[in-house]
Amino acid sequence: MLYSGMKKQGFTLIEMLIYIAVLTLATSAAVVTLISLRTVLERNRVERQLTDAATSILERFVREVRGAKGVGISGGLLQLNQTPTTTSFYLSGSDVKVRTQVGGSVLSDYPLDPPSVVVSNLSFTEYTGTSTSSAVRISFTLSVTGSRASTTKMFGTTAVARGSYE
Amino acid sequence: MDIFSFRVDVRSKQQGFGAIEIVVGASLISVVLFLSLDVMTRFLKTGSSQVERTKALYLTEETLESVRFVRDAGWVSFEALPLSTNLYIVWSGSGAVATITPQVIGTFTPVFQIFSVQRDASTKDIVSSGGVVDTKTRFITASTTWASGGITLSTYLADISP
Repeated sequence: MLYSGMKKQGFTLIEMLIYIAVLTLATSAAVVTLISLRTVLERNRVERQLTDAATSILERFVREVRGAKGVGISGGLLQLNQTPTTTSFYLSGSDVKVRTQVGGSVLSDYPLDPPSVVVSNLSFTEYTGTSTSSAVRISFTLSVTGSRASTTKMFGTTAVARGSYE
Repeated sequence: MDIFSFRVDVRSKQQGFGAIEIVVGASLISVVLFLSLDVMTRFLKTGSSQVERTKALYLTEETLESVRFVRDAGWVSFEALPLSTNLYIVWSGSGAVATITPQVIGTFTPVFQIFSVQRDASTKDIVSSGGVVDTKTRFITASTTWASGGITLSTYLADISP
């Protein structure tokens, strides 16, 4: 639009150059921010998956061990005798699985962590210091690999088998 | 309309962009960028502290369970442990033992303390003060601290030996 009093029309070359430079800077800063925001979101997602998997494995472990009367460990398999059920924890591929049996029949047998979480170094240690109770320690490594972020952490806890208190 | 054209007329004496406009524009963009940077930092902190918190939570729970295991080994020796003192669990051979030497697990140092418990003389309820000390019950607190936080869990343990 033209108004009376305007001496020139449009922009000078310098103005255009400055404008383009500022716009380029702003745009690239915005793009970099967006990309790192996505990375951060992915990292958050990965860490949430990790803690979710750790919590579901550890909670189930603690609950089952507390109800156990007898503990048996062979290799990477933990067997808990709870009368009438028997619950086993074991590593199947990259998942921790829990199997519940009554007599010879399997009631349930399913993984405790999602397929995206890789479990390794699953190990159980039994402590039978006294005749009153025994304690079981679980430890494992979880890793989640995303397209932009991945993480690996070790978790562990101990629970006392209370079934022998009776 | 008159006022509007008047304003445009005044403004149109300048050509292109003034320094003010560039400064305002750039500062708006940088405010937005800095805000999103702040959001990212918060996200990162929340995410990683969540993992630390989960690890510490189960180490603290482990400490409480280990104290229970020490109790199971015999009330007499458990009762003899020092009260209101920082104690640590060490697993030796097949059993857990309480020690006053800090035991580091990874980056954490789970600690526990034992306190005596008082009961009301008539109701036998646990009271914070003014009761009779019950030598067959102990109050345990277990805590784990790390760089950006800490967890404390507590429980009562009683003599259940027949």
